[in-house]
Amino acid sequence: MADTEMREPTFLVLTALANGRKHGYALIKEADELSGGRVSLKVGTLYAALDRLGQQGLVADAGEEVVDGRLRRYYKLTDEGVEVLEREVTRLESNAGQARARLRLRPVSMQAAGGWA
Amino acid sequence: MSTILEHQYRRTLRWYPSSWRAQHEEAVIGTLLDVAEGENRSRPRLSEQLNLAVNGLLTRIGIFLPARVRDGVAAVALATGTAFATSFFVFLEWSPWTAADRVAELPLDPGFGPFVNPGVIVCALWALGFLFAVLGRYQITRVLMVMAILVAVAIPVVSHLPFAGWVGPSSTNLGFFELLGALSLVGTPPSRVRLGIGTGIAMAVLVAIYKHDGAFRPYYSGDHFFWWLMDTRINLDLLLVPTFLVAIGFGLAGRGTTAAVIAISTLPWAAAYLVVLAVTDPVQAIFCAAWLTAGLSVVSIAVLKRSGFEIVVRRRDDSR
Repeated sequence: MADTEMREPTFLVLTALANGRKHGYALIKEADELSGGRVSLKVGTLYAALDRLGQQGLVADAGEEVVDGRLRRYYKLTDEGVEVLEREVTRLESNAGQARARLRLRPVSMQAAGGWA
Repeated sequence: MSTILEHQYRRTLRWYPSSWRAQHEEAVIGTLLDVAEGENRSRPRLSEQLNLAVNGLLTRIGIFLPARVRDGVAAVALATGTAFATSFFVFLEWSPWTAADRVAELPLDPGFGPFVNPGVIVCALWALGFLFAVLGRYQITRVLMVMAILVAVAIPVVSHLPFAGWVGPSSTNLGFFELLGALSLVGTPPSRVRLGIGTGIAMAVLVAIYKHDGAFRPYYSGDHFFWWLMDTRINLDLLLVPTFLVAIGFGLAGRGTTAAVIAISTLPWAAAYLVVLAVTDPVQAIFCAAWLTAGLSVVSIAVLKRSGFEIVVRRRDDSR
């Protein structure tokens, strides 16, 4: 995992699981909310991601229940999943911090002109 | 209504292997019905069904090829395919320095605008696909790769229409693009940086090969130029042998993923080369196909052996 990039749907699924176990539909809704409606996960994509994250040991099954005759399987972050998500958040924060610092260093004349001449 | 919807979803889930369905079908059906209810729908969306079909097929492939292998194969296919498409475009589709010679050699060739033939569309789709992959928009890349495959399949059909009559692209080149396109769809490149670097290296190697063999001369080389080089000047099987040896080495060293990625990634090159050889030297083509099959088998055995698999052959006892 360390040598590969984390794609946005994966990041959103891990983030959605950060505050507790969730079932498939809740993950789709939360990914949608977290991305401001930009990422609308399809069911096939979600379960492919969960399969992959399960194989990587980042996510594990966390029980099942039947609601209105429908099976809901819950998923949770493993300790390794928490670690990987924390690493990714640190990386993103560092990138964002650097971008913000450079924007602050932008010459006043360029800010007034609204961009590159 | 929900029962009909559930039935339609269950039918779509048949794209997945039965072992996967036994484990996940009920939970997936529950989620699909929750999503449909949330959107106040009583019919599946086409995009939803296509998504399930694609993921189902990938899960079937995944039984034999783990996700890491598929991702590696997709990355190599995208990198080498983009490099091949770019060099193909510059040296064979456009090559403005050969325009005068081309008109003299092929006075009746209608051309395709400023280009030689519609192969330029395939090249453009590959370039766009690579661009979106580097931007991290792999879904768009996949759509563009499917389009590139469909255009490559359609070009020979359209070429026979009265207004067409283009010279090329050859079926070898189109088939090569189709194989690389199909491999690029089996996974998602794990790193955009490595994809960019790999594409750059592949492009530099191809440009060096073209340049070394005089592709910048003012003479039109023809659509088969690259494979002619591979057949007569470079002798691709001499490059494929060490490649397979490296793959076997990785397999024996316990690096099964790397071994499988190398072995599978050489297949489109080997296939195109075999087609060219079959025309010019059928005996050598048979010889080459035999050792390629043997090489692939040895890599597979090396990978399986190191990954703890055991192949047991038992004789059935019919005497009872």
